[in-house]
Amino acid sequence: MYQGHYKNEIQAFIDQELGKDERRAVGEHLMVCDECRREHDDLKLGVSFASILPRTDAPDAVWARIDSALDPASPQMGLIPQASFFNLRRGLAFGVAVIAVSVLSVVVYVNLFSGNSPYTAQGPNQNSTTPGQQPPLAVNPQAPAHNANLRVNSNVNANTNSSNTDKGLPPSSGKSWQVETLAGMPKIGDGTASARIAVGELLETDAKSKAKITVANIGSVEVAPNSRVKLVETGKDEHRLALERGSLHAKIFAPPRLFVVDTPSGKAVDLGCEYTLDVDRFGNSVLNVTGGFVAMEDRGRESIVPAGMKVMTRKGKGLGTPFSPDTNAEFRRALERFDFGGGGRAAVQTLISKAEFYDMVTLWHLLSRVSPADRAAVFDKLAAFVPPPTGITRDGISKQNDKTMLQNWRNEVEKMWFE
Amino acid sequence: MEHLARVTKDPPQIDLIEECRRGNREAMHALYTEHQRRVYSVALNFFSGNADRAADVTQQVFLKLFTKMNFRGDAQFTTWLYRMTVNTCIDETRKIRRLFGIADWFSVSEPVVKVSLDEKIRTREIAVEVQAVLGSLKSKYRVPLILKYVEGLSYNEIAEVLECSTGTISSRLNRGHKIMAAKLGHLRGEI
Repeated sequence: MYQGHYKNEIQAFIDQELGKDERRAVGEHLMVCDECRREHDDLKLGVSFASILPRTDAPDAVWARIDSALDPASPQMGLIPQASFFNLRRGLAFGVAVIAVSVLSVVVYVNLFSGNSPYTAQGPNQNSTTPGQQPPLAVNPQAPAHNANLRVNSNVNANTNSSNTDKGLPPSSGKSWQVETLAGMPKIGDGTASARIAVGELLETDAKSKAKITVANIGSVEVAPNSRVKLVETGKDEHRLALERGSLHAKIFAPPRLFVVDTPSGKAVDLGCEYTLDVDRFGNSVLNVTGGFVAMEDRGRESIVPAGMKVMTRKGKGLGTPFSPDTNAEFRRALERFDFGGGGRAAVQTLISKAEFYDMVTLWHLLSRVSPADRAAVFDKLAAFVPPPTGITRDGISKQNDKTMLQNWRNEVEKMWFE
Repeated sequence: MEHLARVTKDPPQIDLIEECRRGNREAMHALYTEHQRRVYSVALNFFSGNADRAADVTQQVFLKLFTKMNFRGDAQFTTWLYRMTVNTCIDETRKIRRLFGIADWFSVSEPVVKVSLDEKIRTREIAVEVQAVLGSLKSKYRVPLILKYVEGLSYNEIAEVLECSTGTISSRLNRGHKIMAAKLGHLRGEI
């Protein structure tokens, strides 16, 4: 019998990378050797820590950035990544540092070689500006309060001839929302810097800019880089934006259906929620719900998307079925074929055979989308995950497509989903 | 329950890749959808949970993939993709050090996540601490840990990605775990 230690094999033992015999030998040794057991315990602790590291999807905005960079007309073409906020911050710090050092050098130079004492520089002519001329970068203390929210480009307002910005008024109609610059220089309307967006106006961000729109008094929308958003309407019955391309993140606290975002291939109707919506250059969209519910609608078809799920739309092909990002790849591919590829029965068979517990919301949507011939099989699969409550029958759904039954089952599915 | 990724055993989606080479944007999107989680998760953990940098790396990897498309099919596609992701993460680290090291003099470093003792019992906060310690490891220890415990690759698969022997992988994991255990020993009873 081997009398030495197995320290070199313990890592592979924990990771189940040893063959059967070797595994048994190490296991037996660990039962009698304190030294190797201590080593095992230390490594096992490290494994426990490493095992809780997260595995997550990339934010949807990443695809929008890639898509935009692949465009031959894009200045990003050539593999230059978009500046992240982190890089931007460091770059700004570097810039500020260079300016500070330069200013300091000039001050030292002037003090040493100009012959003027700083204490004599108090006369009326010391200011280099001519009478009536504004000193550079002078911030108007009378500026309206909402302009103070403009962060990075606040100097734009300060430098701009004050006729527009000091008033802080929307260009035309009285209906407008406050806009806060989060990075870079987003453009509103005709391109002048403004702190508000009015009905009919466009807000456009380039690769380095981001903005936050306050949606009346019901929430906010952050507009990501490379996006174009229009304020369509705002009133007591409806607040409506149109996302032409790019990405936005909405947080809304309002009665259902008060806030709507149009895209070229569908509309996202708020049901009390938080979500990210991306639109690519072709007008296809991806809705990723992170709180509450959103209804995605297109030409009379509706997908109810709860938090933790996504739905896609394809311009010209319509609205997809909501899916969990954690679903398996085969299910995902089959759903793509079913929704947009004319996958038909073959796709439905794959969906049924590959569906897992977290596909329950997808299955519920499929009940009313598959052909009557496939409906019973979808019913059985969903029933295995979420038993239908009393009053809901296989025939009622598979043969009669009973809307009340569907609605009642949906309530159960949603309850289970959030549990 | 989330499934860990494995190196794809299927033929490496040759058709899809061929379509991408032809510039088919829908094929590119399909390939991205299939693999984005692998790339982003590796980068996110490599950069201690810094989502901006992880997004940058994901963007760079897929742009390289779509514009150069120099995958020759003599390795599994996912092995090649992991290798490219790891190399991009390492290049990015070098670039950041080279370009922005000076900014550290002016105290504009990344915000340090401080977690109170009471909160540490929650897995998410522990994960933040684990990510911070992971980020302090040398790349040669950090990368095998991520590929093994985040991506669920076998020693053979990791060895293929990193082009070294399984023995080297085992010993790097061993060393990485010991450092993790030493630095995170105060959390012993909380996981």
